[in-house]
Amino acid sequence: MDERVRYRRIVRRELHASRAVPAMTVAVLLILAVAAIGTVAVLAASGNPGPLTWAKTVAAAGAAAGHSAVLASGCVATGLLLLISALSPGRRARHELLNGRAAVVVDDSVLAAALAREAARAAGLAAGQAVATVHRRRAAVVLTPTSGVPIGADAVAGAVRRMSGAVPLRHPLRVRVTIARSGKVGA
Amino acid sequence: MNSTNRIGNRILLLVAGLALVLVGVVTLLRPLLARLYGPSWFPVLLPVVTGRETARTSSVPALLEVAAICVLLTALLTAFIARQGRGGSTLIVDTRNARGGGTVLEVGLARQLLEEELNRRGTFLAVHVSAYRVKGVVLLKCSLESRRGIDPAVSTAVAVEALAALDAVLGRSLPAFVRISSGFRSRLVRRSRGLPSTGASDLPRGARPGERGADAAASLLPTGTRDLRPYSGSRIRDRVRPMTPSPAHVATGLAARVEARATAVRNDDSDTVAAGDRP
Repeated sequence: MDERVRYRRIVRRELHASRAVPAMTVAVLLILAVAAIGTVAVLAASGNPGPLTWAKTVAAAGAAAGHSAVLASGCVATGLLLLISALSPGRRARHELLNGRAAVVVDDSVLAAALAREAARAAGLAAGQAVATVHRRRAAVVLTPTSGVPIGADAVAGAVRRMSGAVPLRHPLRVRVTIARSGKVGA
Repeated sequence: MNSTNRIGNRILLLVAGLALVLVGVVTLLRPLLARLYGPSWFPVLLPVVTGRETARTSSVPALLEVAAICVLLTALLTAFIARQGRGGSTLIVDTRNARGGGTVLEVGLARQLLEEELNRRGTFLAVHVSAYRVKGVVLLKCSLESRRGIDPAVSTAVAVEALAALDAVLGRSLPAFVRISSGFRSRLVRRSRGLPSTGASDLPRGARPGERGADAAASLLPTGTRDLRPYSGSRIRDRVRPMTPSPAHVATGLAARVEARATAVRNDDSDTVAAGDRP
């Protein structure tokens, strides 16, 4: 297999959830159910029909009018959750970095922290006064100014965009810098 | 990275989800179905199940058939679970030929070299190296926990430099995957302004406050209080208290040194062992 194809495959798998946890949960529950049915069947075959009649009683009670609506709604809700996890892409909050040597994936929180730090540095604020959020194709930086000290929004936006543009992301981010309406006193 | 069958996972979830939704919807619509098809609506939908149910539940062969199917299903599902998350490799290079000659390199070598190289730079709080076999080719996985706020481009450059150093040592370039994360620790460690890293984490691993840290901490105290160290009431006091040379202390000190030495040999940590101590 070509190196590039292999890297693409790895990155794709790292950017999407494997669905191992829900699948294994379902598998374990199925195993429990199947094992119970098998045990009951073996007991009934070997001349001990007690568990079988008991299971039938339980099933009949479950199917009784009072319980059935609640149970059925639970079934539908769980089933829909499983269908969603089966069919949704399950994207993880990560970005791919283009690199000649290795396949590189960066958590969005790392990108956000770097953007926030750069914004705080450019605006001359403390680190806690800049908050960044990174989405798939865009990022938002919110600055809380110190009361009475204006911030040059364009300069900050320029600095943050330069920094984000220098990171070789496969899907570059559109960065938006906003300055909070109310400042922070004595920061 | 691992060889988990992701399509399999999704197919299982899809089938289970469809089955649950179907059962739930049929149960919910039971009154409606009964009105549309009369009291015998259930056989209309699932004639096979209900038709067999009454006739065969008591016959021994049918019950054994059910039991056999259950055993088979349990085995299949157990195999499915066991299949998850595999694909790790302990060897990174294996050039052994049929006659038994060749070279074998374990992942521990790459781990040690990369960890030492990356820890020396101080860009990352934690470094974890493992190897996977992806479609027949060994691939290194480096999970790096970045310090808070470090430019990912810089982190990547550092990681790639370390990989290049590893390539030079191994004499070949292994395919590599680098994941840069910000974990729990990077949220706890506060970055001091203007300094490349915090002083505390600059202490070499395994260094004890009683050794190097004591001198550094003592020099932070005002000159006048230095003589009063044991009585100063400062929080630093515990760290700079001179060691009483009791036999117990000597024994624990020796044990600590032996342990430090052992970890140093294991980790190949150049900071805790003087160069002359190396073989």
